[in-house]
Amino acid sequence: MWNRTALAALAVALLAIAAAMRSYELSSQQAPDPYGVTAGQTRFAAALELLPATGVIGYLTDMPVGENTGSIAYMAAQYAVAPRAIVPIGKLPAEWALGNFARPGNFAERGAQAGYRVVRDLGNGVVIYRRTQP
Amino acid sequence: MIDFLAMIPAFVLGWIFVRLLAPLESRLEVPLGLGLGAGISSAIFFLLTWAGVASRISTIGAEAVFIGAGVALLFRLKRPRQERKTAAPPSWIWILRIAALIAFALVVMDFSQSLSANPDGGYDAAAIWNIRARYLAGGPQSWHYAVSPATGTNHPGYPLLVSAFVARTWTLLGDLRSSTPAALSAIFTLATISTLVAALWTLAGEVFAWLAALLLLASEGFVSQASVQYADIPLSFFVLSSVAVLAIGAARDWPPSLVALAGVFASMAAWTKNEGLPFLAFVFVAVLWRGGLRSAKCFAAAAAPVLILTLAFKLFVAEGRESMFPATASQAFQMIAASSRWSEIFASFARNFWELGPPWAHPFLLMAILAWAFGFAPQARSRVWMLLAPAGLLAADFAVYLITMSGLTWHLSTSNNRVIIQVWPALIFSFLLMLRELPLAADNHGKRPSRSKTSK
Repeated sequence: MWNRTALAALAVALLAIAAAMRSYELSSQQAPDPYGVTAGQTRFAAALELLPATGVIGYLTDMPVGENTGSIAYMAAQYAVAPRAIVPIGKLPAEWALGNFARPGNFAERGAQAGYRVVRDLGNGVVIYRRTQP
Repeated sequence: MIDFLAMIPAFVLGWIFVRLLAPLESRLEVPLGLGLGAGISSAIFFLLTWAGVASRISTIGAEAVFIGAGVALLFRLKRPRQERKTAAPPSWIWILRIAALIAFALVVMDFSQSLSANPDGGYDAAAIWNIRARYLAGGPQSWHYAVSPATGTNHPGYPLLVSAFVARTWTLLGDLRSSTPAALSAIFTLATISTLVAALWTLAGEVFAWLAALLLLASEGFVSQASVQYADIPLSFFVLSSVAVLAIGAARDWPPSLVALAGVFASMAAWTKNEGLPFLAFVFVAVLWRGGLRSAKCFAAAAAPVLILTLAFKLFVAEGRESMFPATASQAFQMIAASSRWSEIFASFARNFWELGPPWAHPFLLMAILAWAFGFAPQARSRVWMLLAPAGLLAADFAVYLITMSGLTWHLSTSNNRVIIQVWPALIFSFLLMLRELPLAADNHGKRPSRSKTSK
């Protein structure tokens, strides 16, 4: 027998399924990897083989960490190289440094200004540095 | 798959703990054990890390010792199963069963689709929860980065349940694969849905259990958070579990075992997110109010170990302080006196509740349909206490927004939807327990489930 509670349950069931379908449709519209976290792991994969497995690594970039784009790029790099910690050059002493550049430029000169020499330019704006002798 | 296998010892440990402390129906013990196991294992891993001895062997060894001791106790104590006969459901129950199955399948597809787009979750997953897990999994030389702002870590004082459990699993697996935090998100989402269903089945019968599942699965706000790998869904699990176990305890005249289990779950909420601390305090008040002093003492004793761990972490391990609150009382009063802040916060809460689902199938609309059809139980008022802790947590969140030193608009836009999700499953649970039992129907074979009284 279909009473009021049964009809209400049926209505709730149908509406809930429709709502779940809408959620599913919405999820298909989301942008993939909007902060470059997954891409960052590919981008920095080669760097992980050159950098020491632990410790503090310097961070050199042409994207100011205090600005939105720079802070997102810094976060993605932090995540990719963890459990190493990366900190902007000069904040903490670091033997090694990671360059993360958005634009082409003289990466060796950028490193030299901070007291680092290029160990390897991995391309795509990723550069490994090591401190020059004090 | 390998992630789930590595998590199994933790889940077994959680199930044993629930079984030892307060035997319940097996359909409820299992999901409760999933979440609790993650909590206990994360605490063990953090303590091993703090002691400087965390490794694959020490982690699995410690868990094996606890599991072994638990199994021995289980055999010794021979806890009886709490399987209770439930009444035959109405003939139309198949509609709800099939609907819940379809809705669940859609949510699984949603989760899978979101994960394929963003395998590392949302922004905060990488910026806060999972990067701290990577530091914790890095061993003695790097775990401090998870708790120090000196190396650019965001919110080093945030509690560690999620991060430490992911780190524990990475340590067992030997690598930092993205699938581990995703698997944990799936487990907590599943455990939250299952706990909601099982607890309502226990207290109110199968019809209300499936209706609860449908209400939750229709909540886009909840579903969209499932795959982002933040700590809000785990917190919603512990909030729901605390409230649900207490509700069952209240229906059984406040046995110390269930009150203690609720205390453990509430303390795990504090070990999950900062919001868990005020929640724990509100649950304590609810227990004192409805269960009396003896129950409150029992609750406090059970909550103490993990609460102490959380406070020790905050006081002695985490470095730096959150600069979220005003430095002086006069500054705080000025902010509280600003009416524009009140209206902005009210508007944000209203908007985020509104955005829980589409207008034509909004969870509030579905609730209104159910309230119209079933009506409220005569004793609904005596069950309002179940809302105290979830509503108290929302009020605490409101107060934090009033005095936040972060830009209010930014703070609301980045967190307000999530603080609602933290209590949403518990609100659905409490709402359905306030509805009237199914009316007698000719096709309702057998005796209907008798809703136990929850008032003292």
